[in-house]
Amino acid sequence: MAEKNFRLQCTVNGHPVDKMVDPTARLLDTLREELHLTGVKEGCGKGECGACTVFMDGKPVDSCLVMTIQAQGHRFVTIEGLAFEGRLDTIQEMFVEEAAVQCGFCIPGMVLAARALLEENENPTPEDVRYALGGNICRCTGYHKIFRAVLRAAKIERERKAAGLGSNLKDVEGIHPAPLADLALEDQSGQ
Amino acid sequence: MNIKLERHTSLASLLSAALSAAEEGPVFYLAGGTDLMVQKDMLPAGTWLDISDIPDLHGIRQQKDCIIIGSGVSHHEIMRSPLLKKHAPALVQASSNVGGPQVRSRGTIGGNLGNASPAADTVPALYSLRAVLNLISSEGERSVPVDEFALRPRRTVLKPGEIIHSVSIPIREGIQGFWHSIVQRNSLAISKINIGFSYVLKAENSQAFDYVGVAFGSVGPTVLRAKKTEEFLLAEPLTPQRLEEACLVAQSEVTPIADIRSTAEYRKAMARVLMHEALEPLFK
Repeated sequence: MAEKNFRLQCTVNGHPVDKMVDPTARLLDTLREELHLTGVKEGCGKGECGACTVFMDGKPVDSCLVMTIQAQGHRFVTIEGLAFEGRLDTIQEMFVEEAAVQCGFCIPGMVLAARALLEENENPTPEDVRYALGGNICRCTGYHKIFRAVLRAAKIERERKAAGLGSNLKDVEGIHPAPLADLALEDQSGQ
Repeated sequence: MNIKLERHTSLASLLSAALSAAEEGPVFYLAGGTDLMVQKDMLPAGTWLDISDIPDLHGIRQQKDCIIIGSGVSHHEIMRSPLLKKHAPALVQASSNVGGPQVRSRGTIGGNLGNASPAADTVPALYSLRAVLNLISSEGERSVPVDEFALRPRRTVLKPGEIIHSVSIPIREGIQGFWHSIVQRNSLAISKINIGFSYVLKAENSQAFDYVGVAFGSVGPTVLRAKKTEEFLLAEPLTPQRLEEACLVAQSEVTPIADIRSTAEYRKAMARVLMHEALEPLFK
């Protein structure tokens, strides 16, 4: 086993992490073995199935493709962080309602990929849902119920938003807002 | 697995580390990890340099008559960029079709280039836009046209210790673009063949071109610029008859092989079909 010679400092599910870890391990392994967040699943281990999806700085990533050293200073949310103060995320609620879960192994990744969609697009079409879940594979092939659950969740969140309620992800992320280096994405001022 | 790993957060420290590491053995630059992490246990021992958090390699900006894209910019950032939607529509379409959402969050334009796969999704788009790659090492900087960068699969003109700093895309007023690929399924598939097509019309709703760039991926050892097709399209205004002829020129120009994903015959036929799909909108 490689040495745990790297001091990892990052934020996971709103909590600061400060721990000696193996920097060459996949983030997937560090999350599961060191932080005991076993809701992060390993399917293919090569970025094709999406079972290990986590949020990194608000965007979905395959944690099997992130080296632990690259997590330094970043913000993560796993499926464990999505339920907030005992309240399931709307998408999780709708997966239950629609019985969209068969063996369950792909579901953490499916829910997070769907969450990423609804963060960007509160009124997705069925085609948008397919595109957003294109990085996730369900080998029980229960896609139709999954798509229905996501579309229902979107509808309910639009109604909740109209009533002044936000999404769970914003609550979790809101605990530690933006500790990142300020990388200006786009500077249109010209030079 | 024998990895000597270093994380760099400044360009200067990376470049000096890259040059000295290159003297000792293989160097792997880790950005989005979407190619490299998959090969982690198959690669020879070497130095891995994490370049994912170097601010100099990020950002999309306009500089005079070019759009500059940092090599560490992700496909997701390209998809969402108003500057690129306007000035590089073919590239935006290409990045929108890379992998799935998780791969687009991490995978970078520099990685798509540096990996030097002839099937790389963004590269035909960059050829069609006549992009220029800005390379940097601790010994200096140089610029290379994108179609001179890859030599063959997995080999580029990069020297030891040299990295892709950024990609420059010349601004052409009124540019339009098309990108499409033939794939086994819509997400997470490697192209059997893909096309990047960028053009400027002489006037709105005309079929005469002021500028044309056409390139195909997965039809040779590197992405192929379809020069004869470009010349054919520039020579005279497009008519329905000339559209069909242009597709045959494109088909004659590609030199694909058969491999695990497709046959040479199919790829040749699909070059014609993709050219057709690219040109059809001009008559709508």
